[in-house]
Amino acid sequence: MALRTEELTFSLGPQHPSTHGVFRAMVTIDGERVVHVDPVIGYLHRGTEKIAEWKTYPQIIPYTDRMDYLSAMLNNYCHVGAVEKLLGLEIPEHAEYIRIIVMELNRIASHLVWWGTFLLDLGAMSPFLYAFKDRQVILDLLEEISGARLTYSYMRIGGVKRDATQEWLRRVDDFMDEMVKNIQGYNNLVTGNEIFQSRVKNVGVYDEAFAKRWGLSGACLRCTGNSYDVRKSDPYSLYPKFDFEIPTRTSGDVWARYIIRIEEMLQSIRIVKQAIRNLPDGPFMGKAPRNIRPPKGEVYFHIESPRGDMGCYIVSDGSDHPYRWHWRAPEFANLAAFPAITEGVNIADMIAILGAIDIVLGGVDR
Amino acid sequence: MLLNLTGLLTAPFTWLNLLWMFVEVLVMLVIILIYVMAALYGERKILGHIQLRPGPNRTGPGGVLQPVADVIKLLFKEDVIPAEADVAVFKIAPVIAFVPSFMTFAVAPWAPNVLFTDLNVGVLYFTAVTGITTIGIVSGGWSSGSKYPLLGGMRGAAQLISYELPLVMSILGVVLMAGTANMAGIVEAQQKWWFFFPQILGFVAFFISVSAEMNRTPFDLPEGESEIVAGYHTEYSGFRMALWMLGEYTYIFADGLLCATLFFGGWHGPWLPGWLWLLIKAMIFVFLAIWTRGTLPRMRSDTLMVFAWKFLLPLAMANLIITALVKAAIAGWF
Amino acid sequence: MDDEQHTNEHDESSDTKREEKPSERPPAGEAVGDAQAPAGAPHPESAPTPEAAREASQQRSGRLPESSTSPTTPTSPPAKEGEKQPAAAGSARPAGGARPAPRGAAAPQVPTWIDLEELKRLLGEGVEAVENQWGTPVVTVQADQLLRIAEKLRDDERFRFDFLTTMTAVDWRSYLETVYLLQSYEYPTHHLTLKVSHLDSDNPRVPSVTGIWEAAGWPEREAYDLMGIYFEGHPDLRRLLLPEDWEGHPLRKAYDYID
Repeated sequence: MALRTEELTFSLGPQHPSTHGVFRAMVTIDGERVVHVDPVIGYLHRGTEKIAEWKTYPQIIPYTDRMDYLSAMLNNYCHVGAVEKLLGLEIPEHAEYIRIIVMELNRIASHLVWWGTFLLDLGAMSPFLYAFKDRQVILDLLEEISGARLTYSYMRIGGVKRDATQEWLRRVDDFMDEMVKNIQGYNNLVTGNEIFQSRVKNVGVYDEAFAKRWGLSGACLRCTGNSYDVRKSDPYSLYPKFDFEIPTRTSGDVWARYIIRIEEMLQSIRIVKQAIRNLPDGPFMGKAPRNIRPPKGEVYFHIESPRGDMGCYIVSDGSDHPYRWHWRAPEFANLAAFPAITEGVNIADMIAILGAIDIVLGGVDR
Repeated sequence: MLLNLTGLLTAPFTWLNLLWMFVEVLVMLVIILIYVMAALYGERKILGHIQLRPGPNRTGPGGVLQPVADVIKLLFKEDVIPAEADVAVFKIAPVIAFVPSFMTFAVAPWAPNVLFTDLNVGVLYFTAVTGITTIGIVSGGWSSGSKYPLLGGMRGAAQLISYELPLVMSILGVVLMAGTANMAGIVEAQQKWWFFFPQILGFVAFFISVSAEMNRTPFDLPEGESEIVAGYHTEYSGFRMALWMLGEYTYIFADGLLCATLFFGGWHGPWLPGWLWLLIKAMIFVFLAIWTRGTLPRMRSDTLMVFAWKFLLPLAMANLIITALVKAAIAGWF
Repeated sequence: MDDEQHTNEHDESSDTKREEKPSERPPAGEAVGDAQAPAGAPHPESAPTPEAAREASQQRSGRLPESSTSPTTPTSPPAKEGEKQPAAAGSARPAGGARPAPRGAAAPQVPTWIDLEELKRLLGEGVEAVENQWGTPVVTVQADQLLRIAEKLRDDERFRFDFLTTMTAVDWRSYLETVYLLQSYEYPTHHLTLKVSHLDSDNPRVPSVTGIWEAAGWPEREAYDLMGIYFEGHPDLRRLLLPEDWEGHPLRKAYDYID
């Protein structure tokens, strides 16, 4: 005879230790088992798309920083890249290399935050501080080149704001060597831990068809065996010149997403080291018109953010500000699948799944 | 402290004896409060060291006054009671949780004849009393009139049921070897060797179950921060919150004493006085508890249950059977 | 307070200034053959023949003529070269000379993976316009044909657009337009923009594509929230980003957002 139980609905967030900001979900549970999740977002909605309609193209750059604030460099690039595509600008190779260096550094920093907070979600306190120690170094480096620690606004339409010094490049290079060792240390600390593995293996499993149906991208897609990564699949910038791999797994669980992100950090280190080695001389700013008035038309430009396929859709009416400016946030699409993944799991797994999606509410709400 | 404490309970009732008992209890309470402060400071410092940060270092030299500041803060904080709460139960729950942890010290054998009560069923008393704490946790969670504490309280109850059994089973092995359930008797039986060596299986089961009972990482499900905010004490503040903390830290100490008594020879040790040896052994246990907190992630409720019922309980039972067989063999029954 | 007043004025003045602009842009349905497509792009109907358009595209992209599909086998899957060398076949970028340009200097290219005329023919009836926007075919369809065409785009061997990147809407003042940005997991360099245009601003209704791409769920809710478009058949059409009691749809151009 089944025990008569009563369902309980509670509000997870927006002030909750593991909702990474202001995500909120109305969770209906039966005992410890999740029956239904209804995500409530918008607490960080700042109407960036509306604001962008009133700003000139260069003025939008700082607003992109504040969307997915953990990967501001990549946001900058996505917007700037879309405008450059509209204008048909040619970017000096030197500038493009520096862009790749800072973007990949930012990717590592973003993954480090994810790594720390994800383990915090699982109840491990210490890795968070280890991750932030390394992230600190990256932030210092990015601060030195861009002047800001989080909201860089470093990209310019046509190039970058400032050139990288030899000293800076050398320090980045040294830190990359150190980072490889540190990631090995992380693996020794956490990845092999039995309790950790029991928390992530076979949790939140879905298959490739599911991921495609929901339009997932990033590690959330690559954990199912699909190797879709914009840097390789639909290359932008100078990524075809670099030698790196796209880590994939086939198990489709949280464990796979974890391992993929750890390996992505190593691949990013490879890219940064190659970029520093092969950095050509040249100007850091190309010839860009002073007054940016792209031709009429619409353009979609997408890049691989740490969280997946990030895109910028611009409708230009020929004036100096976009007629419509839409942002494709990967975490927005990935989070949309959250209720479908969590049906029937227990509360602890729900938290692990949410952590593995890697949401940044600034990006989800825009 | 070095008085014949045992005599007091059996001595004829006089007002002077009552006063003495009161004074002794007060002294013990003060010792525990000092310990809790030291443990709070130690935990923050050790965790800080594990986590590559200095820990508290602003209040007093090296931050030693930090726990004092914390206690003052807790004492002067507003005592918030949620509107939905069942006020009477809400108020009494932390007391229910804390008092048993303090009661366990009654049977702690500090040195030969230095113990409050020389109970013949000391071990049984210890495990029975600790069970009461769960009632505090469940009622605290339920009476808060909030959903996260309710979940925390339920988790606490489920966890206790799962772990009380292997805990008692693993202790039974020691009791069998010592031939007594008297705490002092168990220590005396370890004159030659610690029970840790013959009872290694039992120790594994004991250590894990006792960590689970303390609600500490990796078994801190009832207060799993990232899942259910702070579990059963989410709605508590001020001094009631302090009582929960006090109970938690006192338990670590009490369980350390139990562990040292059962497996590590209690007061036995060279050179130093017996009570100091016991204290050192208990503090090593406290350090281990802090260390695991700094290094391990939290377990999931269902794996926790599976682990308790399918691994720990059989392990403790196997240990009990082996102990019984070996003891019978030595006694020449076969 | 003063600041706010000032902003208000500024916004209003620029609003009126921009008010005239949409008239410059003809409705997408009439877009065929005018300055809508950037200069230099061979427009599907202005180009004399599909072959000529294709040749022009090959000249522009410089190399890899084999990466564009042969007109003789229109239904065959796209050439595999496109996958193996995604860099060269990347629709947005012509391969440069000795010094590779990160993004195309000659801005508007044509789609390399399909010919626009062919695309129009394959999609059948209901296609109002097919245009080229920086190498991405933009297909405007009638609302009642949206589901059929969307399903075809998803399932047809030739397209396999199984990845709805995002869905959004544009307010052209006199009418609204929904935009579906499609991609393919199988052929990641292929992009296609699907549009339903000329939606009545007062009562915009579009069939929901959630049945075809589940990924459309949240973006459609967002478009409902911010643009006020009703998606018929959406399983859960509620406001997404704004509170449920919010009035108006902020991304509309006419939205008065200063109280």
